[in-house]
Amino acid sequence: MSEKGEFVPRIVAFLCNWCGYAGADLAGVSRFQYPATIRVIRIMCSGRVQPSFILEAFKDGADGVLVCGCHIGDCHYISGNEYAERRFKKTQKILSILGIDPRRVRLEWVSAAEGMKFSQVVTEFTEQLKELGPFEAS
Amino acid sequence: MSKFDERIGAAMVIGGGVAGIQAALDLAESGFRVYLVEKSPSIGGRMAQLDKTFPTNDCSLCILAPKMVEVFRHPNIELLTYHEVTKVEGEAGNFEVTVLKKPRYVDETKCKGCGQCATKCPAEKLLKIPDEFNMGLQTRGAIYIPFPQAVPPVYLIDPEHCLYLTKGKCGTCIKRCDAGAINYEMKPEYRKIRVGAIIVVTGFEQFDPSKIPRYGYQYPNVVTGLEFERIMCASGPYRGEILRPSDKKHPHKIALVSCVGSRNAKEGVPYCSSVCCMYLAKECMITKEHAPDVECVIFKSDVRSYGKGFNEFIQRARTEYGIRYIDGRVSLIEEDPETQDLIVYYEDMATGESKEYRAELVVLATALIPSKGTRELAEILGINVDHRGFFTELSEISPSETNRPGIYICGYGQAPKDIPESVADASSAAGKVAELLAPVRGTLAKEMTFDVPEKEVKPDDEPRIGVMVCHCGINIGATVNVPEVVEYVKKLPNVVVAEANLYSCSSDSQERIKQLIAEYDLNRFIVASCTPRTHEPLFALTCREGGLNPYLFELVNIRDQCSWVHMHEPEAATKKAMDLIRMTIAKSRRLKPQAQGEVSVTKKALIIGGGVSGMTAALHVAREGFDAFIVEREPELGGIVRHLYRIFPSNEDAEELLEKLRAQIAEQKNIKVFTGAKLVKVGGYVGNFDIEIAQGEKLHKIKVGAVIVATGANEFKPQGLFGYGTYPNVITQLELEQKLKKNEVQELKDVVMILCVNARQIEGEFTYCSKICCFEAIKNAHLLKEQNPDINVTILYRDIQMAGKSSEEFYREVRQEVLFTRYDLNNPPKVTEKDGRLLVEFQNILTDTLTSLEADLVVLATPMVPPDDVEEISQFLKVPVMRGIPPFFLEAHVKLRPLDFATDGVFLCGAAQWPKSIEECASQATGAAARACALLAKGKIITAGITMVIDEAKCIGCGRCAEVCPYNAIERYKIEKTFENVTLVEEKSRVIQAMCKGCGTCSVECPVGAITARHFTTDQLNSMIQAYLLEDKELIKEETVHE
Ligand code: FES
Repeated sequence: MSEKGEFVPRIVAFLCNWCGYAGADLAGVSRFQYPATIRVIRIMCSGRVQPSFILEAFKDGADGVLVCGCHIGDCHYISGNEYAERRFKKTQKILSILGIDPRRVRLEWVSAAEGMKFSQVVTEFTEQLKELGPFEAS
Repeated sequence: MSKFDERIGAAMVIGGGVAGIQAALDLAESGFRVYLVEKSPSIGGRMAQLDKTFPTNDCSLCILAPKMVEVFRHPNIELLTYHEVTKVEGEAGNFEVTVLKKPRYVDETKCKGCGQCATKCPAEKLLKIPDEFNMGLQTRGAIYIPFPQAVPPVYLIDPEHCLYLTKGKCGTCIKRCDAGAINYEMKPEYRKIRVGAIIVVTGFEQFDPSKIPRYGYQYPNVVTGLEFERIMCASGPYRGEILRPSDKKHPHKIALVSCVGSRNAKEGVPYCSSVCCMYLAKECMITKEHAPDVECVIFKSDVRSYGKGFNEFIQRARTEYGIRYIDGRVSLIEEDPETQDLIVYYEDMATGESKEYRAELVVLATALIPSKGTRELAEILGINVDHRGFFTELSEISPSETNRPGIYICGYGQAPKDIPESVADASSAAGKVAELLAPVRGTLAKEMTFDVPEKEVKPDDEPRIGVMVCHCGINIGATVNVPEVVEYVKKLPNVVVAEANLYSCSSDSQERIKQLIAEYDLNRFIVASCTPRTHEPLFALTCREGGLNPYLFELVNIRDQCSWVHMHEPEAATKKAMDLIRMTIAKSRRLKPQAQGEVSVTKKALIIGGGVSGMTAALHVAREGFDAFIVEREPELGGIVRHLYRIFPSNEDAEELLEKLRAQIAEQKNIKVFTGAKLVKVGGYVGNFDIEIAQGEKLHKIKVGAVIVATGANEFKPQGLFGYGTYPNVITQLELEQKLKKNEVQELKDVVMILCVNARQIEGEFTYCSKICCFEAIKNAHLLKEQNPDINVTILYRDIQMAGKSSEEFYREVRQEVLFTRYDLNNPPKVTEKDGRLLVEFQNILTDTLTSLEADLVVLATPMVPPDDVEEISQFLKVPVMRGIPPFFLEAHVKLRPLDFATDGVFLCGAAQWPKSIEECASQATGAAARACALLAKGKIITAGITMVIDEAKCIGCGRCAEVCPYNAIERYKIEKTFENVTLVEEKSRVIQAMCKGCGTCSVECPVGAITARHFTTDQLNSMIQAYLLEDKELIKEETVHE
C-alpha cells in the first residue's frame, strides 16, 4: 500500500536478456513512464522460467507475475520461448486449481524495439491487478 | 628492408554496417587485430534503421544490436566511428592507411551517453534539424546521438547547426554536461595505421526519387521504403503507429510502387536492387498486422522472390494478408490538394488500359545505389568501379578480390544483395584476408592477461559484498535518492562496504572498484547503475582485474529500468532501487565462481561434397594452413558444374574452370580427397569429430575439428511434365548445355523454353523459386543464338527472377534476339506432337488469345533439388533440413548466420543451403571455410561460465533435456553399476560444455531437478523472489539485523 492507502500491486517480472529486458531498457532510454510496480529478474531466456518460480512468488505474497520473452521465432536460443509458452499455459491451469486468478500472471512477447509496448504492458497489468485487488493466499 | 616488407597481422574494415560488423568480428575471432572505420557516428548501418527483416519478420535491431555491442567490447577491434580514410600506401600484407578523425566536439572517453546535454539544445526548435536516422521524419538537436542503441553510445555536435560553433553564442550543453565531455575546440585529427589488408564494405543509400518527377515525391504523403520502415518502427518517429506525414492520420489505403529508378537505365539505374519486392511485401504484412483493415496495393512488373522461403512469403502476403498485386506501370502520381490523398495513374499491363488508384499514402521502393563517396573512396584505394557505381571484383570465382591485391570488397558496394548474402560475403572477404595474413596470425591480437591472480572463493566462505551505487550524473541521482539507498544497503547482510559514485563506468571508478576489493577483502561485488546488456562485461572485467572471478559480479539496473521510467515518482523509484539491490544481494550471496573450461581442437576440417563449393572450401582451409579432407560420392570432383557448358557472365568454359580447381587441389599437400566415398559415421562434437568414411572396401577413420557441408544440388527431372520423358525433344536446361557443348544445335529452327516448370507452385513441395533457372535459360538462349543465329527462340516465363548487378543488362540484350512471352500459372502451356514436330500451345496474356508455336526442341527450366543422401547426412551431423519443400539444409539464422548451423563446429555453404550461382557458391564456400578456420586457428574452445550441468546421481536418463535442447548440446551415455555379481546399465545425460549456450530450457524440463543452470540457479532466482517479497523475513532468517 502506498502512503495514501491506495493499493500498489507488487509484481515479479522475469525478462529474457535479449528481447524483454532489451525492450524494458529501450522504454528507459525513451523515457516512457510506467508505474513502479515491477521488480525485474533478468534471465537469459524465457525458457528458463520454471513454473515453481511463479508459485513461489505467490506464496511469498506477490500480486502478479509478468514474463516477457522474444516474439515467437525471434528467441535468441531458437525455441526457448515456445517452451515458455507451453509451460506458462500449464502454470495458469495449476493456478486456477489453486484458486489463484490466472489473470494475475501474464506472458508477453516484447521485442528489443518495443519500448512503448513494454511500458504499456506494465501499465495495463498494474491496472488489472489493481482491479483484482491484493492477492490473498487462501 | 623498406617499411613495406613485412606482413602485418592487422586488417582494416571500412564500413560499419552489418557486413562490416561481420567481417570485423570474423577477423578478430581468427586472431587478427581489426580497425573498423565508419564515417558516420555509429555502427549499425542500414540494418539498424529497418523495422523488421524478411522473410521471418524478425525485429531488425534486436538481432543486430548484440553484434554491435560485441564489436564495441571486443578486445581486438578498435572502433573508429566518425572517421574517414584519406590515403592508402603500401601493398598487400603491408599498407599504411591515413584516417581522418572528424571532431565530435564531445570527448568520447568522458561522455556517458546520458543525454542531459541534448534535452535542452535550443537548435532543435530553432532550426528543426532533420534526424537522419529517422529519415528526416523527426527533428533532433545540434548535439545528439544518432539513435538510442548507437555504438559507441556517445553524443556528438553537428557543427553546421550548433549555435555555439556557428554563432559563438549558446553553450547550453557544456553547462549541462556533468562529465565535462564537451569541447568546442576539438579539431580534426589525422592518424596513420598499419594494416596487412583492407576490406571495403560501404553499403548503399536510396536513389533520390525526386529525379523522376512523375512519382510525386515532393508530396508529403509520398515516402520511400526506408522512410516507411521508420514510420512502422516501434522506436521510430510515430512510435510504431502507421501514420501519414501530412496530418498524422492513419492511412486506410496504401499504394506501394516497385522499381522506382531500378531496372531503368534511362532515368535511374540499370540493375535490379534485389531487395525491394521482398521488403514491399514485408511492409504490407506488418501494416496489416498493425491495422487489418488497411488496403495495401503493390504496383509491380515482376515479383522477385528467389531466396529461401521468399516465394512462400509472397504467397502468404497475397493469400493470408490479402495484399493486392497489380501488374501496372505507374505513369503519374498526383496529390489531391484538398485531402492530400494521392492519385496513382497507371497502365494495366494485362489489358493495356489506363487506370487510376486513390491512395492515402504512397510508398516508393526506390533503387538502392552504392553509398555516396564510393567513387572517391575507390580512387583513394586504387580499386575499380564499374559504370553502375559498384566496386569491381577480379573474377566471379573470387568475388571479393579487387584489382589491387590485399584490398577486398563485399556488401552492397560490390553488388546489390540482401542481408544474409552480405553477411556471407563479409565472412568470405574476411577469409581472403586470413588467407593472406595467415603467417602473421596472432602477432597483433592480444589475449587477455591479468596481473592480479584470481582469488579463491570457497562455497562456505562468508560472503563479503561491496556495493557501488551510481548517480550517473543526474540520470539516477535526480530521481533516486542515492545517499539514502547507500545508507540502506550498508545495513543489508554481508554488505561490507557501500558507497555512492558519480559515474561508475569512468576509468577512475574502475580503479576504485579494484581498490575496494583489495582493501575490504571482498569476495562479491555489485554495481547499481545502468543496464547489464552493455555494461556488465566492463565491470566483470574490472572485478577480474581486481582478482575476483567475473561471475561474482552482479549489476543492478536502477537507471534504464528505474530512474528513467519513474521520473515523477522519486519515492517509488528510491524504494524500487532499494528492492532491486536487496534482491541482487540475495543472489550475490549465493553466487559461485564459475570456471571457464577449455577444450582443445583438432586442426583439421572435413568437407562433405566435392563440387565447386566443396573444392573452394577445401582450398581455403589448406591456404589458411590447416588440413582438409574432401569426401565426394561421385568418382570425380566437380559436382553439377560438370554438366554445364559455359559460365556467365564471364563466358568461361565450365570444364576449364573445374580443371583449374582440380589442379589446385592436387597441388595442395594438405588436402586429401576421397572420391567414390561415403560418410558412414560421425561421432564427437565441435573441436573433435570422429569421422568414418567408406570408400569401396576401405574404411577411413579421421578426426577433425570442424565439418563443412557442401553437398550441392541437382536438377529436378520433370518426368511426365510438358512431355518430358514422352517426347525425346523435350529436354531440360542442363541437357541443353550438353547439346551446346557438342554444338548439336545447327539443325534447329525453332526452340521454345518454358520457365518455372514445377517451381513456384501454389501448393505441394515445389512452391519455391530456384533462383538461377531464369538466368540459366536466358544464358542458354543467348548461346543458342550465338551458335546458330537462325534459330527462333521463344521463352515462356512467369516472372523473370534474376539477381546480380549485370544480369538485368544482359537480360535486356537477350530480349533483342529472343521473344519473351508471359504465361499464367493457372493456364500453363501444353506440349504435344504433330507431324513429327513439337507443338506448344499457350494462352497469351497480353492478347488473351490461344497461341501455338511449332518447335524442334522444347527446353524446360526446372528447379534445383538436394541430392538424395541429404537426410542421411543431416542425421549424422544432427543438423536440420527444410520441411515441406525438398530438404535443403537449414542454417542457424536466416539473416545473420547464413553459413553456420546451430550445432557448433558444423558449417554450410553452396547449393546445399539454397540454389545459387557459382559466384555465390564460391563466396559462401570461402566464408564457411573461413569461419571453420577461425575455430581451428584458436586451437581451443573456451566454454562459457553460464552453462548447464547435470548431476549424474540425480539424472534418471529420461532424455527430455536432450529433446528440448536446440543446440544438440546434450549427449546420452551409459554407466554400469555392479551390485555383487549383477551389472546394471543405466542411461544418463550430460551437457557438452563446449556446445551449451546457457538458455536454461533443459533445466526447467528436467523432471527430477538434476540440471543446474549455472549463474541462474533455482536457488539464486528463488532467493531474489523472496528477498523482494519477504523483505525482512528473508533477512532475519539469515540472522542479520536491519531496521
Ligand atoms: S531469448 Fe528471449 S525468449 Fe528466448
